[in-house]
Amino acid sequence: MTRPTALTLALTLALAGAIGGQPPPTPPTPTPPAKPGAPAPNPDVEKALELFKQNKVPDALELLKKAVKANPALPLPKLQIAQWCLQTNNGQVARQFIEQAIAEDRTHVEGYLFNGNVAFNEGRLTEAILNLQTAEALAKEPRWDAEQKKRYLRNVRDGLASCFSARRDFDAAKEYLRGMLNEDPKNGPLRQRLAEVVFLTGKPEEAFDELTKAFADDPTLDPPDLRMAALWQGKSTTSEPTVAAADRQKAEDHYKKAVTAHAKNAKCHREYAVWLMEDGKTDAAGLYVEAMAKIDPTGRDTAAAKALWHLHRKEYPAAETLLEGIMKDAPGDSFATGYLCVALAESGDEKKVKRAVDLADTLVKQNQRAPLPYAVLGWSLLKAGRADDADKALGVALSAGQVNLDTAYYLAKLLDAKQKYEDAHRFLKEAVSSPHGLFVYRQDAKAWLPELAKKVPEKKDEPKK
Amino acid sequence: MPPPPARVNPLLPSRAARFKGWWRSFPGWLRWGAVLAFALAIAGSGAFGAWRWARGKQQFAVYNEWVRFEKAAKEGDDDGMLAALDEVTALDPTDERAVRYRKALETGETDADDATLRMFVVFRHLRAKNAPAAAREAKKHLAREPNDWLARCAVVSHLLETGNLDEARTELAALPDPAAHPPSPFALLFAHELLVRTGQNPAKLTRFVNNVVVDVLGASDVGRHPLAVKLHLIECYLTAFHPSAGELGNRLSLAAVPVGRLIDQAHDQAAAGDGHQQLTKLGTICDRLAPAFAALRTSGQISAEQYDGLTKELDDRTKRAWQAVIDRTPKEPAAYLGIGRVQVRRKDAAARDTIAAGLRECGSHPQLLAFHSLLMLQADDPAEALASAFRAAEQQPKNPFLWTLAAETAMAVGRRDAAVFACRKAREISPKHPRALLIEAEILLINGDPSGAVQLLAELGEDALFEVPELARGYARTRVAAGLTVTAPDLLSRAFDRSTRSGSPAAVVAVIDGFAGAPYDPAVSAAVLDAIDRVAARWPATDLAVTRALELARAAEYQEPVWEPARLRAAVAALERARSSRPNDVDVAAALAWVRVKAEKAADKGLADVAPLVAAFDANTPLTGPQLITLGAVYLANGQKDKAVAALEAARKTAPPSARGSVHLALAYHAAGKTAEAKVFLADARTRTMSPQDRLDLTTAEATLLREKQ
Repeated sequence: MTRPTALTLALTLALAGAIGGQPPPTPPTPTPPAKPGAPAPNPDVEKALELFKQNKVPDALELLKKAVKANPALPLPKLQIAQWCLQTNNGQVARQFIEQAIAEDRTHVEGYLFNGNVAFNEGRLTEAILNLQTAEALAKEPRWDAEQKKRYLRNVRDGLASCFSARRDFDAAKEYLRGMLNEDPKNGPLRQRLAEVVFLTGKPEEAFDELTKAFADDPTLDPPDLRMAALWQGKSTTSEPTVAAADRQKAEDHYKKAVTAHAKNAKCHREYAVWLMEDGKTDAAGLYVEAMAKIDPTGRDTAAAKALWHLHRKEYPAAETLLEGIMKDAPGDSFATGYLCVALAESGDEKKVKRAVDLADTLVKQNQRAPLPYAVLGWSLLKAGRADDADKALGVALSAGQVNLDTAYYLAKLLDAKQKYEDAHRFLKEAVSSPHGLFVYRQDAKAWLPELAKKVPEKKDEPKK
Repeated sequence: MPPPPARVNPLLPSRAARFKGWWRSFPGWLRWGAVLAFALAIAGSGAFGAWRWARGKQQFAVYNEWVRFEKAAKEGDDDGMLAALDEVTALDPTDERAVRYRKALETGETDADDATLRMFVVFRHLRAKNAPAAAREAKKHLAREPNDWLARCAVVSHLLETGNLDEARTELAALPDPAAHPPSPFALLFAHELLVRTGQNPAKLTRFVNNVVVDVLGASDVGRHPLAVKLHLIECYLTAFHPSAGELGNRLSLAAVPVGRLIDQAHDQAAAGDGHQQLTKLGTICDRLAPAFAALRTSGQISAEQYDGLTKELDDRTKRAWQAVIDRTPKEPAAYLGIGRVQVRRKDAAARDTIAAGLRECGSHPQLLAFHSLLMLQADDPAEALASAFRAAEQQPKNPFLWTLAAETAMAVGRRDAAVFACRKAREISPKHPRALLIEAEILLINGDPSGAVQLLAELGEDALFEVPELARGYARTRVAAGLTVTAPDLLSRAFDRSTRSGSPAAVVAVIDGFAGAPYDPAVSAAVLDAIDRVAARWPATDLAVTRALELARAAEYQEPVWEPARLRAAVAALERARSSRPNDVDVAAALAWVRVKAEKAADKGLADVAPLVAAFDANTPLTGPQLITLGAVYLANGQKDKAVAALEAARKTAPPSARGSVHLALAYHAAGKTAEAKVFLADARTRTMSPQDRLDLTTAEATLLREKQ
């Protein structure tokens, strides 16, 4: 799985945070079990894929068999077909091919490995583990040469580590990862995964040591303090409020150490800047935004973080320029689109507000299940003076169950416009009381809360019984 | 007795008889007419004389009443002024001036075509702190007299009160050229204060002080001025030493002696009258003159001998002025503080008695308590020092200055917790109190949280940070410690722009100093050297040669490859140039000696270069940890092991432990035969962060100790 950029991760965490509640526990970024065999470019396989696409499955199968005979390192023919079926969202047929592959050779590792992979992706952890354990036992058979055995065992352990992590059995996951590291002790990313699992077993110092070793082995990885900060940040979202504050403090301590020790690493500055923005310290974030922009002036993540900072500072034209730049390079970037809508909606220019509505509408169409695009659409509509349409869009965002802090602000604004002061006050108060999280309108919300409180009718004392 | 002289000619008729004859020769009507005319002339002259005498007496009385009015006006006595004007009107009902003044007094307004009256009303409003009325009347005056300093200042003062900073700056820009339209001393002081308040460079005024006021002070007739003017003139002189003035004027030393004489004259005048206020003011002026003379000495305008003479006389004058205040008002805390400061400067142990007497007379006065605290600190009584400082702050809990003083005392006695508490108290009153922020930032730095420190200072905003050199320095240093090294050139550019706008290099120099005092970073160092060149091009009189030399020395030592010949040559040349202009500068001496010993391996040269440090160390003058380590290293290289141990042990007590200090102390102990101690410090050095040179020294030390073992 490609690791999301930390900024996106921060955004996602913020978006996932329910007001007044805690988001669901976040497991350590699990890596799904590896696919059986590396798909090496092979002309016969390419031709077989073409035949598969033309729905000539038997012909494709024949061709694959021929290819496997020539190159035994290729995946089993039926598993390859199953793989393509999965890619075309044809899971039912894929499963049939997997079963056939296993039935044809009950002692072959790849069938169980593949089956485990599919089960993991579909959330059937127990089934995935059983398949992978079978594969592990089979991989140790003398049938396989040393190279094959090593490859199979590595893939099996990788898969099992992911499964146990997802099951929150971190001790088991740790053992599998240690097993893999014994085979490949200089593998930095693997050690980083181990560190994350060790952290979740409640041993942060040990985790830090592992991260330090991982960074020494592979300096392209995130610096250890930066990873530790992210781990504490992740933990703080699942902790009790009293513990969460301490966790956040630890996260910040690590961010500080990261920027001090890795002064030339743009990512350290960027991540810390975002953290400070989430903490409502926009001015302090500016120090690190400046440093990040100096180190990586043209980076997309730099532009995104800088745009976010400008939005916090109400410098909408500057944010707009940066977000337009991101969208030019990546038109489908939902982060840039969402915040561009906010910047345009705040411009006060009728044409730009209309564009914000159109862009938000497109965003909704592209992400119909996500609540955030609806929230952005609602806000844009509200800014365009279409309160009733905004009501509908924000209603959809609210029906998702969890609203982020800015969405709560949008809702409060809408309810205020509809003179439902009590509800508006409730939303706003809960958003403002959130100690940490991405909240572009935090300052406005804080300033507005006392004013809104004055509009809330005082509750009459209930008559004593 | 001789007989009376005989008649010339007794035969001739007498003169009366002759006149009678002559008179009778005229007709009778003519004779009687002439008699009448003569009688009338006599009577008319008598009447005129009597009238003139009465008129003169009245005019003298009117004049006296105007004098009374002027005196009352100077004292701000409205009743006295009105009574005097009433008297004038009673004496001379035709005196329109009195009527106009009375009307102006009653209404506070004037539309009269009388410049003196207009300015009288402006002055009266200023005295009553009625800025809107003063500005209103001043504008009327400016319409006719656009070059009037006081009127323009009155307008600016009101603009500042109403928060119109930009308009105030525009008005200040319209102040005339002092050379063409010299301001009165009072107006000069007023204008200076306003320029400083608006963050503008008062160079125009300080040049005037340097070129004109210095001559006025030196003129033989300066003593003829009234007491108030004398005091104003000295205060004008002091404006040239204000931090905003930038570089010191080159003629200021010419007035150092005349100012002393003027103080004596002012003292005699004030002491002769009931001049309690003037004596207090004089004491305050004397207090302010001490750093001014020190600045003259630092800039090289006066010799050490002249400085000693001047300060001795000044201290006597200060004590005399404050003692005169105490003789009149024993409950005046400022007087005890003034004398106490002089005694501290003179290393006179009586300072404690003075402050104790002040506390007895004035009760628990916060400033006296604070002073007492500092004295206790000096006397190595930390508990009493801290207690006094906190008592002082608690006496005036709304005074942020006293809380920051308490914080500083707490820092000095090693109570960082108390310091943080005091800083927070100061910031409760003044959330962006610069000194409190700086102390808190320092504590965060000590506690290993440079990011927290830089964020705390950043809360002030760069404009405010650049305003106070100490803050700008601290901010720059903290930014490096917090890992914000890549943005150093940007900060320097902004500081440079700020300096260009204000006309004073203070901001950019402070940032340069801050970066130069921070841990070495090649990018920052390059930016600093570049900024030094830009400052030198823009402000040629700003002397940054020492900073440049020290930065080049750091670059030679810390930048890989270490002691690269070209960089080393550049550093040595710059350091030698800096030494030639400042032969007693301990920083330059230490850097040069370090280079000699470590890079050039010339121990004897190092020993010669380190002479200012030796002198300072022998005289118990405080040296920094790195300076003491350099001294120890030089002694060590020259085989003077006991002196090396003494210097390095002093370094250990002065500064936090460092790899450099530990390695050299290990070597010194080894040389002194204390092998066990040497091993301890060698082990300690291994645990600390090291520069390439430190690593080299550590290897040498390890090899030395190993050889010994074998």
